[in-house]
Amino acid sequence: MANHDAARNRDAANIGTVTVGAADVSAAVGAAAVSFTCHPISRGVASGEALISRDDICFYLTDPETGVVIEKGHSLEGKSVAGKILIFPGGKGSSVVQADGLYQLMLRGNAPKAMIIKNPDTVLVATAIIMEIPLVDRVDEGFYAAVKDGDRVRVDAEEGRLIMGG
Amino acid sequence: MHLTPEEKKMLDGEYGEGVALAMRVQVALGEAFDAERMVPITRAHVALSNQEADLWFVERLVRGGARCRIPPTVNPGFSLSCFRNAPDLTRDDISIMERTHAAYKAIGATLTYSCTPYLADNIPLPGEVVAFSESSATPYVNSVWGARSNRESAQSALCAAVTGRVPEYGFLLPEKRKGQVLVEVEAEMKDDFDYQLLGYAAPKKIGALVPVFTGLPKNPTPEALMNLGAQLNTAGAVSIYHIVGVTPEAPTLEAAFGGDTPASRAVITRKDLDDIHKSISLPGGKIDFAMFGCPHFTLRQVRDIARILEGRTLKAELWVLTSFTTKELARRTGLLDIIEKAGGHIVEDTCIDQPCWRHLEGKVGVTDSPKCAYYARRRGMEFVLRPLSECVEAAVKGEVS
Repeated sequence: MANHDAARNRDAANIGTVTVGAADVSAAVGAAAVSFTCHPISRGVASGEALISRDDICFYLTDPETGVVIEKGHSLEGKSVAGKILIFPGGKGSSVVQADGLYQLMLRGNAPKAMIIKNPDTVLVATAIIMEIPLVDRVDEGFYAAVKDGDRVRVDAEEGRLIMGG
Repeated sequence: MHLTPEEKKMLDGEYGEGVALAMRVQVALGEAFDAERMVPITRAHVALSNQEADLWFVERLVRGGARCRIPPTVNPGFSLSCFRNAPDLTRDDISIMERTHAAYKAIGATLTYSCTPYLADNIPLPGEVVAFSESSATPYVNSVWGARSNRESAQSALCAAVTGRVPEYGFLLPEKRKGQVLVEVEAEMKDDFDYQLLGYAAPKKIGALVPVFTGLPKNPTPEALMNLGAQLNTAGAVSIYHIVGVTPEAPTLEAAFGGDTPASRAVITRKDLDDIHKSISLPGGKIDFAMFGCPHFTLRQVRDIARILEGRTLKAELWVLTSFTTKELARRTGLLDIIEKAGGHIVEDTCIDQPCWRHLEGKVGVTDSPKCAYYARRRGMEFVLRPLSECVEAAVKGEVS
């Protein structure tokens, strides 16, 4: 953790805005596409590969340089959240570390493209809005039954739709 | 959700991009938690952290022209006057603190730099709607003062201060403040330290339900209640609790549950407290330093330390973190002099989770606060946990049994 902190401090002077969650609309649209309803919290449109976590996520416990989850025993340990459509139950950890963790990922372009959750909390909602990452909840149960790691998913947090396949 | 014409103006950017961003956060929270409308707040407390994300956000609001409608009190970072020349700190560390100070000043915050505003500078009345972040503060204003705050994050509380509003959901609604789980405390509470252990032990048994404690003494100290809330909200996410016969929404057991039957029940025994104590503390032995003030110490706690230290000399470093007002009172009353003569320090405006403690990395400390041990582990410190008087004696001897 000490090195982790040192890395943060080195970068302290170079704070700037990085755009994330750029829409890649064309890729997800196709003949076999299946659509599910969801409830948009942070708006925007993004598509990418699904990555599913059984456990709540504390973004402070990811490596900002790679997006890899470093929390011991976490169901995503060793996997990268960078550029993924991240599907997880909810956030955990204090507001300070959670926001800073996601921010460090964002600075390096390693934040998830969109987040699909079950249990919203004030930290995750505020952070998603501020960092302009699409965030949805209350997803049709059929989506959870169908989705697997690596599936291409389009999150349309404008219309409240998740589109798979195609 | 319903927005008033004034709230729509904020959201649409008529007051600038900073206010619009703050309102977007508030509306998203309202959408996430099914709020029907916004309600005005009269107080706020922002858990400023002096970390990069925190600074980035407040500077972005300031650049967007945002000013606080409700000036919030703020959490500590580190004291520039104490640590500016400390070898622990890099130029970047100093720069982040200076920019944090400048940005929060520009946005119109009240720069108290204390995590215990609920004891001095920002005390709500019963029923007052407020937005308090900081893990020890939210439970205190909800439970002890009977004010209404959700478990705000640093960012959402700052947005509330800027807009002067919060979405109406959760603990703002009487229905959601009712007790859900009965916690029968069989352990006898010997001192304020036992409340630390109780707060740390309870979430494992009750999850995030609203606890109603029975079996506790009728006249707890403010510090005991501060400890209880801080640990409940560190070990778990419990931001409101009731103590029958003590806290204002729990004059009776029936009132605490709002007429409902408890959904579940838990018992906490002395063994539970002893077990949690063992699980979060290093065993005794040599210690390098003593750290107090997570949350910030009160004058009574400073006095307790001074009484033990009077006329003695410390073997280990001893640090007491507190508000600038408490430090000034300690100076006037002679307590600061006693502690400094023994070789100890009282530091204002400073949190344990800051870069100014780099020289303690890899060292072993003693503290009375599980929250301190929890957050400082991230900075490479390990702790023996003991009641306050034993901690101070340990710092005199350089070891703890």
